[in-house]
Amino acid sequence: MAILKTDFPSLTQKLNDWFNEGSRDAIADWVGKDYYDCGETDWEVFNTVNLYGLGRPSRVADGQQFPALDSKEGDSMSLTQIQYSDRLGVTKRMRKFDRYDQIRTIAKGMADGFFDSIDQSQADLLTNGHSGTSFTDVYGYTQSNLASDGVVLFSASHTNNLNATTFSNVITNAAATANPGLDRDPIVKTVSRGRTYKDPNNLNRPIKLDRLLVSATNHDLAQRIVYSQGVQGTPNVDSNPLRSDVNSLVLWSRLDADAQGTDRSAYWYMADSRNVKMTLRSPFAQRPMMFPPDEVNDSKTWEYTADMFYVLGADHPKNIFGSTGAN
Amino acid sequence: MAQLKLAELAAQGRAYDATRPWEAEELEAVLTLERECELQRTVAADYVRNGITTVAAYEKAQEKEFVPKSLEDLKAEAVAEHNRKVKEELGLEDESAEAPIEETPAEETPAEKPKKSAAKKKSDK
Repeated sequence: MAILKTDFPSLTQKLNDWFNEGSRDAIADWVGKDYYDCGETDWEVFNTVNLYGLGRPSRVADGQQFPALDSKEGDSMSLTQIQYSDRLGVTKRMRKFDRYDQIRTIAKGMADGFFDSIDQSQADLLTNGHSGTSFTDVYGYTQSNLASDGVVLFSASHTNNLNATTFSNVITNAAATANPGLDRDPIVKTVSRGRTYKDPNNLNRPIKLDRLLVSATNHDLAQRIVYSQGVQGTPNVDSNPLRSDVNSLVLWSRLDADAQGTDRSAYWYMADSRNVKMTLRSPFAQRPMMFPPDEVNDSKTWEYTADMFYVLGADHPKNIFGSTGAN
Repeated sequence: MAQLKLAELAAQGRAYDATRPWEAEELEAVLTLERECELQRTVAADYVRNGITTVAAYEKAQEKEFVPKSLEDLKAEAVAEHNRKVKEELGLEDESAEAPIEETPAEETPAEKPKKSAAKKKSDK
């Protein structure tokens, strides 16, 4: 029996169910949410403040005024929400012939489209974060790839406002060659560099780089490096300590190529799982949502709309290290 | 859209100006001058904005007692140069240079004022 106008609410309910079903599956595969701060916000403009880990107490005499934390010793940035939208049409023909099979596919496809785009946009900020000042994102618009200190996200020369010391979050190997290919040696070196990181005041602020993010191309190699019982690629019988240093090996297939199709499969990253969301910011004012339809008069198509509000940016970059794998 | 506080960073010598960050080579030059020549970052940034990007060039500038122009001075110069070019292209004369100076009448003394108003009243009648 054809879907009638009186079926409007029930079809809307069904479409919402399918959209949510699609969203649930897509969210499960959404890797970026584990590394970006995707919290909800009511603010159109989200201002971040990130001290470089400078908050440090001082010794005081009895009754002495407590020293104030100088928030100028940090950087901030503004993240202004951007709206993205889509719509699907349930045509008269689909309704007349009860083509739920088609309607369901469209609703699920739309949900997938939202979350696949979000995830790709988040991966692209990493893979395009090694040079230049901006790149073309998955939506075809210009996206800044600078961290809040005004330097490209992965740089050997991150600055601070306190003194002349600089900080590098470019992965190197033991011989200090930058951007090495995925291998055991640079992983060990990077874990060590993270642990010995010092803030501009020369206080050790360990960065626990316990997540290894790799492309699908590098996944097998990464598994062998991290999970083999002995040291990978050697005949010795030492146990492999990386099995405890790297507590999660993450395959992020969107690192294989960016939205523009550029091959990024050699790129790899190490992140501090507890603090990486202080670096990678992606506040949502509205997660993807579908809304009830209007009937288009000249085609009798029922148009269902969906939209979302979010934004991307990189704050102080110390909690993620990256390599292009070029060397 | 992510917006950096480039104006703040530029004031700290950590960006070129409020509209753009340092290019990678420029930033490297700032850090090198800061480190090798023991300059404050803002001073090193001024040298780099003036095209002095190596230690050798800095030393030469010191010999010649060159004082780098600040970001504000460079901006003002750029604006003046731009305006001059526009006028040249449009064939406009530089009004500020050639505008005739209008003769301003000497300030009336209080004694003269009543005389004038009296004369005006007469002519009205």
